[in-house]
Amino acid sequence: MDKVELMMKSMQKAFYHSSDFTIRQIDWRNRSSAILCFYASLVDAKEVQKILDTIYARLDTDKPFWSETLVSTIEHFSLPQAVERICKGETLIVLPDTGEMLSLTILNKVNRNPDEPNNEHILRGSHEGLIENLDTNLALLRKRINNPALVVKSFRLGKETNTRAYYLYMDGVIKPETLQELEKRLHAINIDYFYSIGQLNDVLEDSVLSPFPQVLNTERPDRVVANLVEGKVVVMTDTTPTALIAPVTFFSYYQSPDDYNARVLVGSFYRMVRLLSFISAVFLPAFYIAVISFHFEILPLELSNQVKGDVNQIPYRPLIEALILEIIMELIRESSIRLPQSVGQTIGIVGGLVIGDAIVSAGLVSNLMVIVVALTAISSYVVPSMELNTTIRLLRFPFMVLASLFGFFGIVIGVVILLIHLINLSSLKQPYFAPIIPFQPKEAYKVFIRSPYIKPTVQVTSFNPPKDDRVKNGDTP
Amino acid sequence: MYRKGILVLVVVLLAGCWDERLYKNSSVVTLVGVDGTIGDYTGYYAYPKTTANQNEIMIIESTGLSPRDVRNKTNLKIEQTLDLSELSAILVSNDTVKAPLYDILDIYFRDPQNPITIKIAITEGEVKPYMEITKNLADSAGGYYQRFIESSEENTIYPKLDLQTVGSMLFDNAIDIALPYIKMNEEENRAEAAGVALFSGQTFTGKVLDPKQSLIMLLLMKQASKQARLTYMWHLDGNEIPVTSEVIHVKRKWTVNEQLKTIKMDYTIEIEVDEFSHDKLYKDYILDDVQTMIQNKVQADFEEVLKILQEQKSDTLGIGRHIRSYHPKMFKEDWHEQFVTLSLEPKVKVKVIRTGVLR
Repeated sequence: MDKVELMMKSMQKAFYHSSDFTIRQIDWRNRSSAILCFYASLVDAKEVQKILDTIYARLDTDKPFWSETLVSTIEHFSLPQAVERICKGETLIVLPDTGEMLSLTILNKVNRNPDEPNNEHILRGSHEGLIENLDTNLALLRKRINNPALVVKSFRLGKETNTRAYYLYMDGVIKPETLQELEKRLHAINIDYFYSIGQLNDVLEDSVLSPFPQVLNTERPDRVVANLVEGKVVVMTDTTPTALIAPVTFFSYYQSPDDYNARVLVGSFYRMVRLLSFISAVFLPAFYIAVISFHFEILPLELSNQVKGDVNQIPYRPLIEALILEIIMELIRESSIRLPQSVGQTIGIVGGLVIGDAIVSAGLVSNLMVIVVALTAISSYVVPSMELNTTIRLLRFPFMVLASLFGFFGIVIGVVILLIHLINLSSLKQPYFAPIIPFQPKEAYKVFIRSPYIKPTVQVTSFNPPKDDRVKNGDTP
Repeated sequence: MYRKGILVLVVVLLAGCWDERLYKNSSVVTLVGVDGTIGDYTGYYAYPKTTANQNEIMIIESTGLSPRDVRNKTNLKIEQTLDLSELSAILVSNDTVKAPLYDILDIYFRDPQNPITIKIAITEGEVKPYMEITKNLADSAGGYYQRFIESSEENTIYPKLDLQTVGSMLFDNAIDIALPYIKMNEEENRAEAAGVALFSGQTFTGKVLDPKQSLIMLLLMKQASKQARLTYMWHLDGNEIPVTSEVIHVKRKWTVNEQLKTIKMDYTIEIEVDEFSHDKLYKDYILDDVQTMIQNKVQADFEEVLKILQEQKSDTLGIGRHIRSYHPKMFKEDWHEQFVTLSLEPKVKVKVIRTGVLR
């Protein structure tokens, strides 16, 4: 058996005789043979053929760098390296005579279009979204920041899956401590199989058990860019369209690209409406329970008759009544996510109209409770971020229990605990509740107001801006 | 740790339920009426009874030794807990307040859940019919009397008082209260504002100022509200022409002479003419004449009301407070007796500053 056949055998063995692994003997110059091998599923065969033709043509001219093109390179053959390259989707031509291998990086990538992400709709501005391909995502970002100060560093995730991942930052804007902290955490990752962005999310968070997300997830390139220039780090992995942004503050979750695309007054108004929605989403059911079971004297006389008439017919305590309706609400929400879109609308009608109306007529809950729960649900969906939305919906249950035990006093206890937690929380070792605590007067008003762009020398940041004036003025090298 | 956790949870759960008072288990009383004297009180409690789509005002009547006893007796008669946290008015009959008023009000100050921004009114005769008429007139019994009193306050007939201010003034011997007085209009079966009931200390003097005198008293107190209208007849060549004017602004200055025990009360009243069918008010001689006429009439009214107040030993103007703060040597603890001996000399100056949009 000659050398070539022997080599083919060992290659096939290395790939466990997989069906989509293609290996062929081909002719090379001077009547010698070469081995062509690739994963048929990963390679764009037409393109490979084109490049191969070019290389064949060059081969005959005996040029010294005949093998070098944008997508091809030649190196010494070693079996482990060959296996790794083929696994990545490259096409390999092994030359047994010289002990070299020529690799062609032409991948047949299955990508969707960078469409607007479904969970982060905006009205005005760019409608592009990140996709499952890391290089496309990077291109979407580079397109927006034409500046070498946007630094991209690559690393690998998962010992077995070996997934590609990048972290990006703007040099000069980012705090060095932040970067060090991130690198430390990425270094400490110890997972074998990486398949979901959630794994990375948990590693990057300061306290995993907190109800508040400390890493911002987004699929919008414009949002990523806005955060990059504010001095944050972005982590992206291959095969997920989600970018992780850290360090973030609580108020980052309440900002939407829409604020900045809209006019100043409009943007500011809706930002404040959104912040108010936090209060109504978390405290409204608790407030109602407290009023009905402890402090009904605060109801105006005109309203009290109506409320009394409603409440009199309910056979159980206000907490149970609220829980029933909240759980129905969560059921409707959960089912409408899982169902295909065409059926989803039906659920909306069945859930909203039929249950909402019938449940009152049946005397299971009172009219006011339906209003309260509906308002709460609407307010919780105002948050532009999906993670904080789930947090808020979770938070209101402990408040409801506290309100049913102690009334307003209980709500106050809850608020104190919540604030203590928020103030203690950090994201990549940066204060989570900044700029309110620690208080930065110049930054604090930006939480409520989207400031106009007429002062380009002041940079939009959630944390202390760098002291360097050059950086502040935006002319980063 | 696990045990401690359970202990904390149990403590928390125990503590909570004690304070709970469910709305559906409470009968929310909005109006309370008190009749009778110590040892034989009759109390009336009005609360809404809500059935499917209908509101009905229920009135419960009980007798007892004290106001609290009456409330306890009432509780025996209803299926839910009597709850006074949404109370908005208390009616007291004129016979009951011949005895000290605080006897009745005491229970409202002791319970922290009772509102103290509610209205008190004195009724002419028994309280019962005043409670009964709310059944036909309003959705909420207390709300009816609250609105009733508040609208009269805006027309400067009742002074602006609530339970809290009444409570503090009852224990101040340098000022007296004047409470809203309500009478029954038999023909129309409606309550009617009939001026204010004058108190001397804790007790009702028995003297009631009619609505016009009440307004004059409130002007003396410098408490002209949104609307304070004075109507007088103007005589011209044997004709009578009514002139109605609205008080815009009252300025007052009291000058006390300690030796002579006299108080000069200078009032400047700026008015707007609201009604004057004769017209031609822009002519100076007519304006001057009208102005003088109103000035004289107001002067006479002021003197009359002050005389009544002194007769009844009812210092509703708070002259005692003024003297206590600015002339402490002159102030004596038995202020009511001192008040009678004062000589009060009102001096009124009326200025017409607006004559309406008609020229």
